[in-house]
Amino acid sequence: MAASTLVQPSSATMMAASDRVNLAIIGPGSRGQQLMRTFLRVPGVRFAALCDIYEPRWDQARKITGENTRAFNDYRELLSTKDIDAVIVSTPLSLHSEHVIAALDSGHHVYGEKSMAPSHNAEKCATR
Amino acid sequence: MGSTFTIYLYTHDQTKADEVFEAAFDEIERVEEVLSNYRPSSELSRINRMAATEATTTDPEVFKLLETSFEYSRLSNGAFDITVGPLMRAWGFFRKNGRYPTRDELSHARAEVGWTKVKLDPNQRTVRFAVPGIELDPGGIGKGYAVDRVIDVLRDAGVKAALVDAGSSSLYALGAPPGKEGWKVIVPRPGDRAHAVAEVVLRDNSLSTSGSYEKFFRLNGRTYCHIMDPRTGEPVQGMLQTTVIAPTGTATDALSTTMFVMGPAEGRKLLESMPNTSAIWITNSTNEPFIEQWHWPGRLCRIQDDCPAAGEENRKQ
Repeated sequence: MAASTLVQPSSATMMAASDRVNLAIIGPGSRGQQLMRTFLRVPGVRFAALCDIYEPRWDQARKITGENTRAFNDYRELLSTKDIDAVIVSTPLSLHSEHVIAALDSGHHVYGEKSMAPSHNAEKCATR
Repeated sequence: MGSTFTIYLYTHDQTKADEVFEAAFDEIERVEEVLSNYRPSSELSRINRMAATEATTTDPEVFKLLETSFEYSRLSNGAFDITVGPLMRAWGFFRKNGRYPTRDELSHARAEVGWTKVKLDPNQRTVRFAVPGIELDPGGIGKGYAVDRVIDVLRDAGVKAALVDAGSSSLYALGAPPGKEGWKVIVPRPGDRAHAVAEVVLRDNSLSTSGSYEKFFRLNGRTYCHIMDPRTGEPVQGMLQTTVIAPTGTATDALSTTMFVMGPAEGRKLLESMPNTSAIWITNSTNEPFIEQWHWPGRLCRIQDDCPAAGEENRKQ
């Protein structure tokens, strides 16, 4: 995880009212699933939502969460849900900046897999 | 685990087979990284380091496996126990230097063993050791669990026929080879792989074997094997080998150890409550190997008979 990027949104941060930290993940592929297991070893963490356009990933990810986690195939729908504290982006590299920027714009904390973007210009957008 | 895994599978072409093999062995490595108590980086090692001082949160997969392990402990009244490590150490089996421990060593080890000294909180998903010195050792269940996870990967990949073998002691037979009813599996005699003691055709179920003939030491005319009876703190006596068939690798791995510790009389009572299980015990309590069975679905050989193991097409446990 040390090589990845953790970005805070510029707007006011949002926290769940309880001690629970509700995470969502965009892209629960092999790397994303490893991240899910690692985050679930942190006290209070659960996954409230997941998103992947490859729907067989949904059940794979639900086996990891141990619950019937809400699943989306459109990340914009996931980001519009109200009970998420932070978003993990572990999509293919070419999509990192698009998903990280959208998650930040929706007011969430973001954990983004490296690299933040495939090009210098896209990275500047993500860090603006 | 530290075991050799062997996978046989049928696919339509080599490319697909290569992809599936890679995914399967990746999964074995993942489970090893979660459960190995030889790797300081594993999740189980982290729990062993932390849970004596604080309630330690773990992920649902590991928590569920611990719950399953302790369910077998409860059902067997402690004959199965993944906290048995300090006893193994006291008897010298971790250093492959078996010896009779002193009374103090044994007493100290027994204080650090006991599944009831591990507190699981399903609401918080935490593990807490009630006394220091407890360590979780998945040796009696981890290989079978890994086999199950590999089978999940194969099923997800669309594989209809496969046999996954962990260390020649736990296997799962998925479907059947083309034109066959299932996978023929040979259970060899204790310490004699050239002769069969049983054979069975498996399909969508698992088989595990536990034996006392690979790790043991002799002292004053007695043989002490590496399988501990957690209830007495001493190696099991009078048992050579047990083999169990059940619906999952996790179950057969745990139950083959459990049946080894409990023996046939006590073991049968437990198996009566578990549908779709069968078992054989090979005892030597009368100085002559003797086979007892419970609902064994295949052929059994008398151990005194010349009962050669079958040819290359068969898998030996």
